[in-house]
Amino acid sequence: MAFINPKTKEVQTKIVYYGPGRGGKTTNLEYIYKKFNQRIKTDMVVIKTHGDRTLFFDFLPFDIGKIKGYDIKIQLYTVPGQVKYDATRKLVLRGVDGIVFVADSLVVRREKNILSLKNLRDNLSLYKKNISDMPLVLQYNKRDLAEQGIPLLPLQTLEQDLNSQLKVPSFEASALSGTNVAQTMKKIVLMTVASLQKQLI
Amino acid sequence: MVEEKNGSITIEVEQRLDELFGDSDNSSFDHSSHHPEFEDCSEALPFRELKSAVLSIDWEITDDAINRFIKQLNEIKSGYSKNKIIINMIQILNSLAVYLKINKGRAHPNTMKVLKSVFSGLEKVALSKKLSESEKKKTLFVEVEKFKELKQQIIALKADKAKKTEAKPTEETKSKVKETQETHSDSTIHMISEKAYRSALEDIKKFIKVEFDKLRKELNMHSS
Repeated sequence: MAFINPKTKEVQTKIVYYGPGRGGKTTNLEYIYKKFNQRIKTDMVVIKTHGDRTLFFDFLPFDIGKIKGYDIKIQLYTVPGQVKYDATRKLVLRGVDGIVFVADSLVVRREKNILSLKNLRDNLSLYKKNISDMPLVLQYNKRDLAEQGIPLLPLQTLEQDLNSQLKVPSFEASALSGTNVAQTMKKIVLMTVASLQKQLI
Repeated sequence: MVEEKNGSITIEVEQRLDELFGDSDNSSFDHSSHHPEFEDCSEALPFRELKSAVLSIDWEITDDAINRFIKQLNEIKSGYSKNKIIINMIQILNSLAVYLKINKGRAHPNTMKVLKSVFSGLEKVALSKKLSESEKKKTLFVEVEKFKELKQQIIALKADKAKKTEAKPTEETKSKVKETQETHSDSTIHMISEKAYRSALEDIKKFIKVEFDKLRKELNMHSS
């Protein structure tokens, strides 16, 4: 649940980028940070462990300014995708308001996408949250690799595997080149704000 | 997307997001946007594979990831055997990979930074068409310096660890000392008991001799 401070008129929303390891979650945040740093005037925090590997999470906060007198602060998080870091994922999901599920379009990652989505469903249930009630956007990443002859999952397959029940907005994207990175983020912010407003009314 | 009663806020949020993140990317997919600085895609493919291996190692240092990285390095090496700058960079990357394979999580924390930096240099030198020969040499020089600096840091770290080990006995050393002391005290006990055994044996011998002497005397008395 978002943090709302009526005294300071501040709303903090937490959006988590979830998905299988090496799917491009950090690359999404890095792109947003590099591309819009001048406008959003923030710092990206990367929590790393020994050996300089990203094992914990990345954090990108930014302010979208005052809306109806409230200062809206957005916090973007990523989680480590590898199976063994489930404890970290659970922790980062605490108090989540919106989720971007970054799926890997590579054919060889099909099963990992499905398992990761199941893992998200399970971890949300720990906080008594249902994935179907949560603002959620799917991003099918690495679509640019098709041009290099690397076999990718067709969109229909990705939709069938991941979105046949959820029926949430989805985007084809390339986090590396930035294609649809901001669109994905804008969509989840809008959905999250709308959902928060619904809950507060 | 949003219900009408929420409309005004979401419209405002949407406008604000467009101001902050507008004109950023294409809603239709743009294939040509990938690595525009690298003109030849077929040449870039082995480096893309190598980059994938670098990212795998960056994520987690495993034998599989490092072996894949070394294999990819060798493949690139065979295609650039006459290019000394590239061969030198590959050698540096190979040394770093071997060091990581041996030390894994205990490797110096700057190793991955240097590895990624040398890889970027290699990618730049091999794929950028705009780079002059002197710029390529300069890139190699910068990466060699970083590699040398890392070597010094590793040596310093090892020396520091050795000093600490000398100054403060580790648990292993402590247990070895204890073990030696125990062995020493065991052998002392063994030596003492052997001495006591010998002396007891001598006493028994003396006692038996005395008893036999007495018996002999008694027998002589009876016979006489």
